[in-house]
Amino acid sequence: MDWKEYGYLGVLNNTGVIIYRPYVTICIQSGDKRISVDALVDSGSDGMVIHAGLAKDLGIDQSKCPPKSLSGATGVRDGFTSAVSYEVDGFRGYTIKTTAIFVPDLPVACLIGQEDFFEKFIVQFKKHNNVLRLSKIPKKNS
Amino acid sequence: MKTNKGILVKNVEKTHENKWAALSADRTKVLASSANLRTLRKRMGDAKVVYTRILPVDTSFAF
Repeated sequence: MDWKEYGYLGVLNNTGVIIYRPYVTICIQSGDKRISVDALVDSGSDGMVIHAGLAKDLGIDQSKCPPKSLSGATGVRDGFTSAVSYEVDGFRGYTIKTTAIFVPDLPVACLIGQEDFFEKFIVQFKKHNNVLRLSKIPKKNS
Repeated sequence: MKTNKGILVKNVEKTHENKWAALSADRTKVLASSANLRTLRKRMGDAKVVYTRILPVDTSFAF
């Protein structure tokens, strides 16, 4: 099985401790628009959630998108959905198509979750080394 | 064995918090930031960067 490794991304907090989180770089595409962003790998998320600030740059017109609420650990947010696709850095050509929820006040650029990401990759969180390991799920034999 | 393979973004500042940031391709440096993604993308042009949002350092998160 072919594994790729991604270092967690760390920032120094106000107490002098470095906080590392499991981000991977993805290239989100909608139509002919593409943007590379860091996506937080979130096993608690049902699917892909994108900061609404990315919608315009992806050519997505919010007024034409169906509304949808997103419920999380800190409350409920109003958003909208749109079809997008993305590729994970290091897995060129392995395109994931999904319907993402766009919300305006997401603290991160993007979350990738169960339906879009974890169904496509075997995911190993190795927090002790601050590394995430990914491997494509092998195709089933017919 | 415990070996830190994490990537440290070295120059995150208070002024970057809750804004869009363009990270260098190796994700070790904030090259620029803005409250508005479109403004930031115009500034960065065709540079090979990764866009992210800088989380406030004094806040814990649960998504």
